Amino acid sequence: MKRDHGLPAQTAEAMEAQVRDAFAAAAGTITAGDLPPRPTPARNSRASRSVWRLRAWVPRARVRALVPVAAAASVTAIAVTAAVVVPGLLDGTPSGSLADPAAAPRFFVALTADRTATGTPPVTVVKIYRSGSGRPVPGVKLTVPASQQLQAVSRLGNDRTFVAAAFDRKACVTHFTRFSVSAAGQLQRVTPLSVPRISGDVGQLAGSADGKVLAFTLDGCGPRGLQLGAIHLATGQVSRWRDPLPYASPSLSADGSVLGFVSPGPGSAGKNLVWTIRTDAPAGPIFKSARKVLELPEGVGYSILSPSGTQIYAEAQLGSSEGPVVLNVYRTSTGSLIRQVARLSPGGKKQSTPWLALDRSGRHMLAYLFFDRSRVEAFDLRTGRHFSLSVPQLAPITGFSTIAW
Amino acid sequence: MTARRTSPPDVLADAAAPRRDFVPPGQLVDELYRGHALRLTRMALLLVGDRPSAEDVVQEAFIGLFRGLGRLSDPDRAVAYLRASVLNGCRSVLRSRKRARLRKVTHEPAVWSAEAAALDGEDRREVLQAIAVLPRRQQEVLVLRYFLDLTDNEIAADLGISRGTVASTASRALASLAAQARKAEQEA
Repeated sequence: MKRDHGLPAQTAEAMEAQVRDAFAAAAGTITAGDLPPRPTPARNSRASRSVWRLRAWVPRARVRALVPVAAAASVTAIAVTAAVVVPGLLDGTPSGSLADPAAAPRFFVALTADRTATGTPPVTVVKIYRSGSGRPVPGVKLTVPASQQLQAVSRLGNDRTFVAAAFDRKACVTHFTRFSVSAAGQLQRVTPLSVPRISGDVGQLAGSADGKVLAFTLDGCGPRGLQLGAIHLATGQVSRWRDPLPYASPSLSADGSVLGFVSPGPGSAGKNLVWTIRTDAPAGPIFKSARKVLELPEGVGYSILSPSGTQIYAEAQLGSSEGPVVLNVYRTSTGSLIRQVARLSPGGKKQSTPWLALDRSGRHMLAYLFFDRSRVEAFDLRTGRHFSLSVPQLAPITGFSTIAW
Repeated sequence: MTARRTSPPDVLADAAAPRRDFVPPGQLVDELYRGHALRLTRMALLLVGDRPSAEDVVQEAFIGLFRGLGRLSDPDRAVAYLRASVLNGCRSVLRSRKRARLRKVTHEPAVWSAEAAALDGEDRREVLQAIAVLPRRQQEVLVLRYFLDLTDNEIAADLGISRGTVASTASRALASLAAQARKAEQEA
């Protein structure tokens, strides 16, 4: 006779006997004398007779019936809270923690990669982000024709008007697009910016707060090499300066009269210095007209002029080449340190040049640190307070993202 | 394998259930402890392997009973409630041991391990070791069937499975044990 699973009855019975015997032997290792005394829960040990009766009386079924009611009430409370609080969070200005939130722009823009359709390769677009939450406005993005690639974006004029530069590699020409952001975060008035033809690849952009001057760094796609330039939008006049040295982080005073930038400059042994040049300076070799305003032991990776042009914010490194990176503000007249604004990175391997963006009032600054592409730091420069915004990773197809507000 | 928690039998009463006369909880639990604690501790020992854990599991089960005693509608089913609580407690212990192994936390050696001297007989030790590596449900069925001598219906109720599943699980467990015994003989 066979039992289930192919075990002969005799074997099964033998196994059963062995199991019983083993169980009995193991169980026999505990005797009644080994047992600890009966447990008495401390909380209930002094429970009175009335308490026990009360527990017996509690209408458990009624309590159970109340569970759905309580759940519905909780869901309603959460929904009401969300409806009241979340819009404030989404539309708010950068912080709660900034001293004067009303003065800070409600949106900032940044370059990032995006897929225009499923299955297509990603392209670089400009997205609009809410300053209060760091979240992009859903479905809103600025794109350019497939033959062009967005390279930079900057504020131009008020806090809601921006300009984006897109490079057409085939024609080696940069196209500029002006656009506005509505109060609801939607794109408005997207128009080509009417400027003379700019041959070359614009790398970085800076617009003046009065909206009249646009400065840029340019790779001329040819023997002319790297250039720094400024377009006077009212007249269409373009000033270009060149020297066989790299330029970076252009920034303009509010009236567009002074252009600050970072470059090694002559005789600096490759170390980046901060320079200023008047935007009406004659074209030609740049260091004939530029003035050195700041020199730091470890060099400067990024700088940005204050709207008045009398101060300059610059990243500075403390100690060795792997020391912490801080943001300091200096006088442009003397190059002397005014104060430290913030610590941008802890140093070590987590150090890299940040991208900084000053708002039109010059009071609020955004810092995008390349070692953490999912975070943007916002600073109130008057109070020194700052807070972090978590953003979807900012990563354009080539290079690093630029942000503006 | 994720251990499914067995619901203790529905001995905690609804409002509609008839209430028995008030019995001081201490007295009732005393009676239950005197009558069943040893058997339940031994059952827990067979499942978790070591005495301290087995005693803890049973103590917790009695504390749980004590706290729910005010709602106990049928004292006769308190034993089934305790048994289910002990089973659940043993599963918790075994689960926490899995986590503890990851952290390399040591615990008391099992009664059937070579380090434990309490058990006489190498054959018994081998049988218990073979049972210890069976799937959890097979272990539980074997203990309830061959140590507590419960009927298949009672086991089915305790484990929340069908009577047929009890029979097939036990049969599969015995077949596994027999196969392991044959393999051990061949290796010897």
